[in-house]
Amino acid sequence: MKNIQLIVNGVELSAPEGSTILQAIQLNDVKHVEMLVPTLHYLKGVQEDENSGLGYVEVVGREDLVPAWSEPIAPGMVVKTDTPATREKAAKSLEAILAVHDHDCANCVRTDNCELQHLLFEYKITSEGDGRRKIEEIDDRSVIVRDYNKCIRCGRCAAVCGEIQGIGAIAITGEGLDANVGPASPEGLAGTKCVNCGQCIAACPVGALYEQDNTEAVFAALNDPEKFVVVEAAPSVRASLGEIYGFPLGVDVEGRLAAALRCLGFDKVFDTTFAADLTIVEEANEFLDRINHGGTLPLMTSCCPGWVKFCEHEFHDLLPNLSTCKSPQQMFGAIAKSYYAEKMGLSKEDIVVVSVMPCTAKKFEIHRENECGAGVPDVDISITTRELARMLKKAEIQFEAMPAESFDHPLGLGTGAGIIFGATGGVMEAALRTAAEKLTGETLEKLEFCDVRGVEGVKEATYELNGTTIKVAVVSGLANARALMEKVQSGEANYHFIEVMACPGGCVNGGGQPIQSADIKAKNDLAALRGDALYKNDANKGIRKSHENPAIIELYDTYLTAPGGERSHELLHTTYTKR
Amino acid sequence: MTDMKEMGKVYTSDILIVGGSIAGLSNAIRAKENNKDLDILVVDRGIIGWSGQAAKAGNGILGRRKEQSVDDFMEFSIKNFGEYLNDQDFLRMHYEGIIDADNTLLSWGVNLSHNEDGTLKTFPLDNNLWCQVGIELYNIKSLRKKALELGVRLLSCVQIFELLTDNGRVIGAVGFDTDHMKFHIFNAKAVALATNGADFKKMGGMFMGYGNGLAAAYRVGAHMRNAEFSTEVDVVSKATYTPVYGCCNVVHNALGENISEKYAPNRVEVSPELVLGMYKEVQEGRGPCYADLTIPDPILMEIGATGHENDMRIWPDKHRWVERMHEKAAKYGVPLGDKPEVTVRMNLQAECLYVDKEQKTTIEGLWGSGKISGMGCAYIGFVRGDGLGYALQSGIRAADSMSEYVKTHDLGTIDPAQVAALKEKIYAPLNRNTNHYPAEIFSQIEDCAFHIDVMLAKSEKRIKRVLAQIEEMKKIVPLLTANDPHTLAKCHEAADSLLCLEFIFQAALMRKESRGGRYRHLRVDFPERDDVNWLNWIVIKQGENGEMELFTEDVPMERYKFQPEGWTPRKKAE
Repeated sequence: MKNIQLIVNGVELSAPEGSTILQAIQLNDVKHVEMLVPTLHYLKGVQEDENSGLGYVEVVGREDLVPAWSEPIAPGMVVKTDTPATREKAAKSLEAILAVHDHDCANCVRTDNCELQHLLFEYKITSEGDGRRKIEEIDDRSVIVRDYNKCIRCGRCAAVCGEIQGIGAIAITGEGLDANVGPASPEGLAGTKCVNCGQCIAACPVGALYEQDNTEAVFAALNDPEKFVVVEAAPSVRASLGEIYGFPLGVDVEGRLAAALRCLGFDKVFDTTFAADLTIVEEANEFLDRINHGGTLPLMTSCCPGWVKFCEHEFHDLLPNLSTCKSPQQMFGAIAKSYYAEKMGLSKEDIVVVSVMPCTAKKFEIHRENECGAGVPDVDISITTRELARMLKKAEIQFEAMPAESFDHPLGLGTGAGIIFGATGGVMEAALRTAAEKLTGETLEKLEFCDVRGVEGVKEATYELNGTTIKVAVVSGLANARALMEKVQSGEANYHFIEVMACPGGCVNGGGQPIQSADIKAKNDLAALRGDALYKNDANKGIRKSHENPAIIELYDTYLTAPGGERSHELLHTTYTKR
Repeated sequence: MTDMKEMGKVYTSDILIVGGSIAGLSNAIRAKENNKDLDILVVDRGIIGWSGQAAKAGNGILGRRKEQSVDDFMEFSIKNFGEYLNDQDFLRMHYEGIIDADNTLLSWGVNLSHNEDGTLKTFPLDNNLWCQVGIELYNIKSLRKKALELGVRLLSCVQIFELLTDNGRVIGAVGFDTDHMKFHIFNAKAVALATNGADFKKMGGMFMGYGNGLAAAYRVGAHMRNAEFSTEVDVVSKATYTPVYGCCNVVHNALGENISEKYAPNRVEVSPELVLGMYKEVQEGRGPCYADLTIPDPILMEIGATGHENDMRIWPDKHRWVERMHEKAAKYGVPLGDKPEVTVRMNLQAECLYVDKEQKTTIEGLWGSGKISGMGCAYIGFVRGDGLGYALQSGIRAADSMSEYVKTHDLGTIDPAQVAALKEKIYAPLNRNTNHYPAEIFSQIEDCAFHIDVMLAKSEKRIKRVLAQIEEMKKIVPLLTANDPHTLAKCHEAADSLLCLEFIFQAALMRKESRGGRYRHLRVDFPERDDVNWLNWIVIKQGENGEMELFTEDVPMERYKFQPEGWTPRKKAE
């Protein structure tokens, strides 16, 4: 495509023809603050317009201010983003927004990471009065909490829920700052088909949406001398936690994460990667079993609780296709409270399993039916990456000062295959590494299945394994999943194995991950950068196939006997219900 | 080790770096690049990324173009700044290393002025002898990012007061955190001080170091050098108290006379003569002074803001900051305009940690980089932008030397008795319940030192008066009291500042001549440069009984390329 030159605040930029002014600025990744075009509604790929009164710039030769998000660039265009007129317009709009926004910044989870707060600072607008505006009840009936007092009616949550996830659990009625944005049911999100993916939280520019906070429960468990508290951290957490402390995007902080969890006082610091390996061994076994014995195909992964609930709402006829394997989070808990408890001579009732997840749906998952493998809940408390950061802050632990430590044995030992679970295509690749070796009986030479890597919403590939043709698909984002499932239903698509993750790009981009502003998201592909961190981690691991994990081998040898065996079924498999 | 854990929080690392500004972070990043498996811990009393002197220094960093001659630049520096007291080996190494160091900084993600092809964009100065490169205001924030990416550990809000030794080798440090006053014990194979030196100044608006690093090094036996070269002078805007860059030749009195021409014509930098002249003009009733920025003076054109918009000190972030200063000035009715009223700012500073070409101090296991060793390394070529330039290069050099050292050295053995004694000493001021607070010392330092005839135009009589006052102040130190971590830190800062002040004036008393450019040592009783007797460095160390010992070390002039005119080697017999 042809590139066009334009001048923004005296600096020459170049962007493809057809771009808007805003896109041209974003594309050039200009770090100069003067080039800031303030926006609060705009979210690249989700909602590319702005009705807040912000986002206007001056174009030389034009009498009125021009909307930067919709105005296409023209050759030689001279744009000014910071003039008295743009400042006045922005200030006026911000004051109007502030009038309907709760000012209790000090007690807000998004303070310091709030797009509105950032703009108020840029435009030197301070609030007056006592700072509090609590006129509506906070809706905390679901794992996703909505504070109407903070909502600025940007509509991003409704857009991401409707367009990207294809669910439509959030509705907007009315217009402008008088609009009502909220669950499309009087019973709140629980009354909708919400799958608790948390993408609405990640899209919210302010603190109007956040996850149920379970940090106090974790502190209480840690302070209880009777309890043996173990923690499992999901692969994706290490690819994003650093962002909260100013690490560049996509830096793997595995070692520091283990050290920080130990500093918090957990009795044992384990890695969900171990359980991901276990999931692969069980799931590969299930897959081969279905292939060999004419079971229901395509097999669909079940490690994403958002996708599972989506399927339970929308595709009742496909429930038999879902793998009966529990998610790694749950498998970990079941093993911790059976195998590990027996090994350590602990009573399963005294063990508290805390999981740190990139995910809000995991909070829902721990309360699902049939998730008590050892007769007690597999996982007791699930917190997000963000909640972990809040805990570290409360405990005054400087994450930046942490040394690189290792996870504890044996449930902290994971392979590269388990690590890549966090990225879309990762579960498929990990399963293929194991399934291919089982099918062919030969050692796999090239471990990378590059066809299923990358952040595209839908990927497919075909592999010839020992004379058997295996056709696989990988999908992320529930709107994409819906389209693919409809093809499966109609018979148009014919796969053996499908990996589904609810969040676009996979768990690395999950609803429980550190929140980045619309501006950062426009300039960076978060899922790709964080996913790369996991692929790099995998490449550097000595063991990269789940079935070669020595801790897993020992677990089967001494306890579970064989994949898909009786004990496995009792501990590691679950059931689904029509909703 | 159980004893140790009861005394405080214990940290071990391969390399410990005290100070998290440009020198400390460059040291850490380079060491990590040398060997990614090294465990590197940086400790700072502030929040790393926002603290330190370089976090406020978004002007320019020293640069050089390939075609610019190192020899010419050396000659310029030696004549104008060091007046032959430079360590010419060090100076050559420094100037030769600039280009690489700046490129390294750029590769670490710090925003420097550069061309479209990624090469550095430089701005020549002093008739194309050297250059500056524009640098972003938030350079430390960028370095923090890089350090974190590589796996460097950054510990903020902990202040270090003492070093730990094992048979004369430095193996760690101790201090406390300024939030909870918790004791922290550090054990490392190698330790670097990048703490800044000590600064004494009457008015704020600049940077403050309290000499904790210098004092801690001195107490474990490290040598100090060139402490007498301590006074930095600048001409600043009366309204904003920020330097009026490049105005050294265009200062006028109230009558409109160019007093730069009268007292110090054709200089490349603000000189003590100009400052003394301004002082005289005001005293004799011809004040206030102003700088006439409309005159096309070459130094003003080069160092001043003109012609470098958008790239040199006019990075948008810096520009914004300057704008705010101007806004503030305008608010109080002092528009700056073309002829801003100017005054004199004098800073006294101790940067005297003796280091060699690898930034090693005279004590095994201890390195020094950045300002703390700015004069102690004796290259003495301080041009504008060299604060950052030297800090960067010295950090890199220290890293290379330390990376080698830790290959063959272990953590040593911490002596619990030593830690206990230092802990007792550090917490001693707590709850003494006297009426002596550290502010008393600082205000007395101001009273005795902040006079033009003490800071700038010294004489034996005045120096001795200051030293007598220091002795009186030292008597207050054991009486200082504190009830909170900040005041406790201040107690030690006061004591250490006082020690650094003593370095300065003991050395100034000994050097019976006048010498130097920007950090001029000016004795009114010995106004001439004396190349016969004083081509040597004054070194300070702690004597066996705790007394301050001064001795001299000859500048090896006979093997240096640049020698004073008419200089001949002294006969051994003399």
